[in-house]
Amino acid sequence: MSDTQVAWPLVNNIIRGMSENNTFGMVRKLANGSPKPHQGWDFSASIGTTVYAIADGTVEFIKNNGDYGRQLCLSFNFDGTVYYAFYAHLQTTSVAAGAKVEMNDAIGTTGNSGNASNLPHSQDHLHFEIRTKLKPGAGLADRISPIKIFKRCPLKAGIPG
Amino acid sequence: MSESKQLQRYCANGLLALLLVSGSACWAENEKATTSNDYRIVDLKPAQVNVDHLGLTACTGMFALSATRVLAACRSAKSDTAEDSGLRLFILATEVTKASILSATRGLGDAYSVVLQQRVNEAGKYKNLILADAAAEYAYGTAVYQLDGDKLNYLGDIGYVQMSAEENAISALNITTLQASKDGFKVSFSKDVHRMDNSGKYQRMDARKAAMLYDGKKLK
Repeated sequence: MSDTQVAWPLVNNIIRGMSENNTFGMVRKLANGSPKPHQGWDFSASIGTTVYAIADGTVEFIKNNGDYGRQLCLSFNFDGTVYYAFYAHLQTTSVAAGAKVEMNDAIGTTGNSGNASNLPHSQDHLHFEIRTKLKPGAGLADRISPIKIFKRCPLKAGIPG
Repeated sequence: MSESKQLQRYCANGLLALLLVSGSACWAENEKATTSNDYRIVDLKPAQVNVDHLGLTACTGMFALSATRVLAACRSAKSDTAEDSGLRLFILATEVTKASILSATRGLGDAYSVVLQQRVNEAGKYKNLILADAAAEYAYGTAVYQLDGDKLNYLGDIGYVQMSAEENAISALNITTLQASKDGFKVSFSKDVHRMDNSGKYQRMDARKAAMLYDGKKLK
């Protein structure tokens, strides 16, 4: 049982489309059936939804580039280990790199930046990862399932934050 | 308008699909090729077609193949099934008031976007290829189709990507060369590439070892 407290990143947390394809792992497929990894969880969120710090921590970086679009990475301590909560496809960020934040502080809003701009609005979401390194490798490298932090997954029913 | 002036206008507009039929020399100005075996990259001309009545949504690309044919990458909820969903490539007829669908591919699964590229080699057995470069938070790889009249025949996938400085998989299209071969075409890369295994880990591949061949049956 963990002693470390964490909060959910949104007020209403549910996996996009209640689909396993939007959870962590080798859950996605191409037309030819080849599996592709999803590096985190996608939470359904209409554009402009407030995003919160899941724990006390430090904003390691804020970027706006590539397929992730606007990104925020928050380092935090969980049971004595440093992890990195990575928020992507954001519309805005309201903190600066280097800022110390507390759990449940508002840190930005969800958007459809990066490659999410190609999805229908019904699929707008927060892409959320738990990383074990500040600069992770590609694919699933240096990432863990968020369920190891949150202990449950809002796949079939929402969880209030 | 004289034929020569028409050709000049088409060249200026980049309407190369029309010229594939005419065999115009303006290819050299608009397309990139290094040897006679190389497939030329065609500069696809963006098109705007109303597809609302067809139930097509979230189109990520729409290009003129000719004056009356458009290649589009869109979603179609009514075509989706549990096994076949996502962005599809459509060939649309546009010579009448409302566009119509002539053909569609299988869905590209969980990809968020697809970048389309046309490559042509008049001397090749597969003269006209469409490359569909799929991506979500990172590049997935490239599906290859033969443009055969008003149909797109799926030939296989080029499962290679490049790795960015930030260790994110990005498209390998800009380092990919296609060359006509006896029964099909060869795929080669000008730099080392990466391929994902079934556990989600990438393996770096020497460019020479990563070369692929479509032999008329399979891209491998």
